[in-house]
Amino acid sequence: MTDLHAQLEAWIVDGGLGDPPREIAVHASVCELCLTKLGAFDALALIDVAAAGISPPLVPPTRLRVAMARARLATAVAGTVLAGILVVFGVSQLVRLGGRGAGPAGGPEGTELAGLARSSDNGVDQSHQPSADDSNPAEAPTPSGFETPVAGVTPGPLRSFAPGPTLPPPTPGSATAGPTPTPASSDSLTPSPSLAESPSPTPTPTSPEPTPTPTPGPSPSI
Amino acid sequence: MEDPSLHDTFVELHGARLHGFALLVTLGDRTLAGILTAEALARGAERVEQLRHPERAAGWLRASLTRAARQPAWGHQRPGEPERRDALLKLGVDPATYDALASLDARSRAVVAATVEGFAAADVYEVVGSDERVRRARRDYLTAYLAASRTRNTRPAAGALTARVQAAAAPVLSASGR
Repeated sequence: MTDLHAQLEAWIVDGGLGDPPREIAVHASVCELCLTKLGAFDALALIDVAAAGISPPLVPPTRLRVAMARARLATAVAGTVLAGILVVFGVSQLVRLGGRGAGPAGGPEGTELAGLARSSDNGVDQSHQPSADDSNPAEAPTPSGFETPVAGVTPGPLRSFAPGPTLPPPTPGSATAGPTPTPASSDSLTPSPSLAESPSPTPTPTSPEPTPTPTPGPSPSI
Repeated sequence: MEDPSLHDTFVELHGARLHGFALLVTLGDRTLAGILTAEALARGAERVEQLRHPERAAGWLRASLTRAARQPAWGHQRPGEPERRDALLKLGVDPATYDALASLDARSRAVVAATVEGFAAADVYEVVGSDERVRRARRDYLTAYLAASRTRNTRPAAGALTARVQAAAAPVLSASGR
């Protein structure tokens, strides 16, 4: 009996093509459940889709697309604003650190580096522990450890930590040039030690000195 | 679209039935049905040269509309259940059938709607893209309808399908004297 229920259902589900096998038809004719199943599809035959008529002045076809475009635009704007906030936050942190390093106690680079490393909320890699050796730019570790997180954001103040021998002498113009202009005052607040410690007898601001050694990894301006 | 009259003919030929199909797929959401119908007609009119055959065009339009109906419609105020029931009642959808349709997703409702329209199996297949989906949707509808009719304690009126089954059984039943 159950098998006949299932066979009738399978016949209906497959589209009810042709006549059902006689055995199934006999069963279905006297089975309440099977008659209800047949009635389920008979009820569909009473529906007249054309009764809807042509829809009243249809909404402009592009309305859905406009709504979707608006949603996409809102998402993009929100993402951009969030990215902007993060960038501004990062810049402000760097400016603050630069200002702290160039304060009244600002002196040798080792002090500035220590200040950077001690700062707990600056997002800077703190694996590098400052030591007395840091005061010597020639022996100091590569500055990329400090500059990587902020590369391309504010090259100005942090350039002062660049080791002298491999970088051309920074100029006021180059110190402020970059994707994100730094306030001009930052140069005055953070005097570039490399300028002071590696004076060039013949200053040639526009043409860097040729250096045989490769320049350190990520350049701050990238 | 080079020929405006061709476009008008296309809309006139398919508009009303496609709108009814859309009402079933959207479960009586008049606004969304109108939007989907207009969009499908606009897309179809762009390729009216390839859709000159009415049945091919009808299948293509329903497939296109079904795909669009499954996308979220942001910024659209959805109607309440009474409005939906009212919209479908005008097409002849009885309460148990409405309950059954309400338990299906848009694609399954499209299968039921294509069945309502009397589409051939191949055309229903084109609407949802898979024989198995067609069978599953019909089976789901059947199950949902049985549950709804039990809940409402109603029994559907016999129609053409029941009559065919009874006609097939009649020789045996009359011979046995039942």
